[in-house]
Amino acid sequence: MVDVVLQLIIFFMYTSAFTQFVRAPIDLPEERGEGGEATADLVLDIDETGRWLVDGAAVTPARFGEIAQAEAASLGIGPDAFSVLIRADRNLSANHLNAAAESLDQLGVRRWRLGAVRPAGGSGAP
Amino acid sequence: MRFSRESPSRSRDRPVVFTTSFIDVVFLLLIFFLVTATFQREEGRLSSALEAERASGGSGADLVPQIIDVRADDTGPVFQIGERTMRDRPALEALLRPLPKDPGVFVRVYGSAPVHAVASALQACRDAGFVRISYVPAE
Repeated sequence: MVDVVLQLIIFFMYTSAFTQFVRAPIDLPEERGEGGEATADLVLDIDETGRWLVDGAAVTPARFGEIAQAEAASLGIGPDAFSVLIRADRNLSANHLNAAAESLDQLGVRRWRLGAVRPAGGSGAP
Repeated sequence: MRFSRESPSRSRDRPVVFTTSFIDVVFLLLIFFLVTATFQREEGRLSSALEAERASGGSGADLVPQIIDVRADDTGPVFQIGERTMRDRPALEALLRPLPKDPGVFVRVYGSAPVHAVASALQACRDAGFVRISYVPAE
């Protein structure tokens, strides 16, 4: 009995910490996606006010560029292989998304992903 | 005759830990984590990424005009391919399905469009069978 309870505690400790540290709470668009995990070398969050966040800290586009370059250098990969996941608030104007795309283009990052969550119903078709 | 492995004096000297109250502590911890845990839908496990390739000035082959304009008006998001205008993703996907897939498709996004409309357009392209999807920011 106590073993089961301990296992439950470990589970809740792990999952709660994971969701708090890795992903900021952002109201993402609901789409099925294209399969595979939404992993990336760098995650850029854009909240409902248009702020850019990296690891929960607000950054300017210039600072984001510096972080991306440092991250790519630390991974030992070029901008072509560097992957970025953009998690933008679903109701935000696409102006912010376009600015992020322009910024990535200036850095030489050719491929990026737009984060979404699968609809609660499961099928993905709205 | 004694079969005990330890002498009575040794077992008497060994410290004893009372574990009776341990289960109470464990239950309290469990209740704490149950109450404080936030049950979010995990994105990674939900296959939730849409990939877009930033368009750039390229060869002439890249200029095949399969362009989806994504913008918004007073009534909501609008998807436009040529003269055809659609307001929902199923209609856009139905129009995209018969198009040739090899040249790819350009998703031209105007600043007035909301992010969820952009995601819908990208998803429609994926569902219609396009692999090469280029994202083009527009003013």
